[in-house]
Amino acid sequence: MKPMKRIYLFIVLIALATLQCVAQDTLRHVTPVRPSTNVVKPPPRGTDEALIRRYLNGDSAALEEERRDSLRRVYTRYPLLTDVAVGLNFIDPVLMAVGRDYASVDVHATLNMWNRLQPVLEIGVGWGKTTPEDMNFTYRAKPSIYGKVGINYNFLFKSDPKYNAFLGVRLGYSSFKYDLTDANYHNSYWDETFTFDARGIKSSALWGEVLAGLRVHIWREWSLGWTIRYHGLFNYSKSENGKPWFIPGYGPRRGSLGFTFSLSYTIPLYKKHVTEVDKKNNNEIKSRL
Amino acid sequence: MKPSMRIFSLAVVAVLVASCSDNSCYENNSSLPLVRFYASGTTTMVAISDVTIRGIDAPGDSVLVDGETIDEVYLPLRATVGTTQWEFCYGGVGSELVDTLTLKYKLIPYFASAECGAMYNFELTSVAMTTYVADSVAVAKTTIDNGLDVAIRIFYTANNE
Repeated sequence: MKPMKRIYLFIVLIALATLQCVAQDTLRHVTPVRPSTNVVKPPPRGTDEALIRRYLNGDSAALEEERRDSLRRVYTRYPLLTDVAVGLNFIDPVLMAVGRDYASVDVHATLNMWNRLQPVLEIGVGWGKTTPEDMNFTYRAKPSIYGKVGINYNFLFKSDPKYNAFLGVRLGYSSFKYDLTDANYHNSYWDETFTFDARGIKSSALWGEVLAGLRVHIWREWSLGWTIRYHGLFNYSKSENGKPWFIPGYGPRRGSLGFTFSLSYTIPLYKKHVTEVDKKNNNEIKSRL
Repeated sequence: MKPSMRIFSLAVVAVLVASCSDNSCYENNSSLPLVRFYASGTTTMVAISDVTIRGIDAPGDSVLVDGETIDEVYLPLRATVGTTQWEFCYGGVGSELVDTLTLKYKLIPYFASAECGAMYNFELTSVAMTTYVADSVAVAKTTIDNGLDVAIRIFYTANNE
């Protein structure tokens, strides 16, 4: 190679090297990094080696896949139809036996979806009779049917479906009759005393409820549960003979709180498949905890 | 069941047991028409002085109001017949200034509430008053129940003394 060509080539190489240094130096100044953020965190223990290699090679979706995998190892995702529970609310007759004047008994069916959303149907019968002390009547609410539909939200959706803690809403309706008998009336000024009866007075009511409750497993497929309910009337029909005292499924017309206590039987709707890998992963998690 | 859930369950039951409902009657225990006195052509209440009110055919000629100054009064209605008459004597017993209020009605058995009880309601069919002293009478509500609102208005020419 001729000397001039060598010199020329040497100058070009020096120039290129200088430019590269300047560019790197410029880059370092244009993108400053705070020391606290410039820490490479190690991947979580148990992360698959292949996922680490994929991430280092620029595959950012690998991290999201790893997050989903780790969540799957932490708690079970339940299927759409997890189980159905059929129960009996029996607390009111017990309270009636110790002095209460009215009762509502219902059977209910709860469909457990994803162990999270739980549509509910309740159908029952309510009745009552009262002759209050120091008052002038006997009120008899004839046994009448009521129905409620609603839905619960189970906050323990990550846990075993045998245990539920939920909030819910209901819409209830009842059409019923009642009798007013032995009503006696005394007018002291006119000195008149008389009694009267009014029988078969018809009424109906529509109401809403919000509730909170628990259901816990006791033995095999059997569980016990309670709810506390706050309810309010949307509408009820009034006759010329007055307003109802008791509404089946609701309770006293002027009341706002209700309580249920139920015994339920649960029918599972899916078969839980536990693989060897899942067992190994669950054991690893338990040992770390 | 976790201990915290047991405690929470017991706490809720305790609240329910401890909760109490209001058993008071905030209206009347029987259906009584409330009669108020007003100055003619206005909604201003007036007090009628030295007035005696008695029911016609009341047992023992008993007097409901005896020479008092009043601006309103509850008039109990008879439940064995469909008519009640009240005599308003202005200026004491024996005065010739007397108006008679006549009420005709239908009786309807009524259950107000467990707290207020059962009673008859009265569906007014006719209200009439003589006008020797009173100017006129008006019906505020046709169904007499155990509520506390005015049922009948009687208008008088107001004395500005």
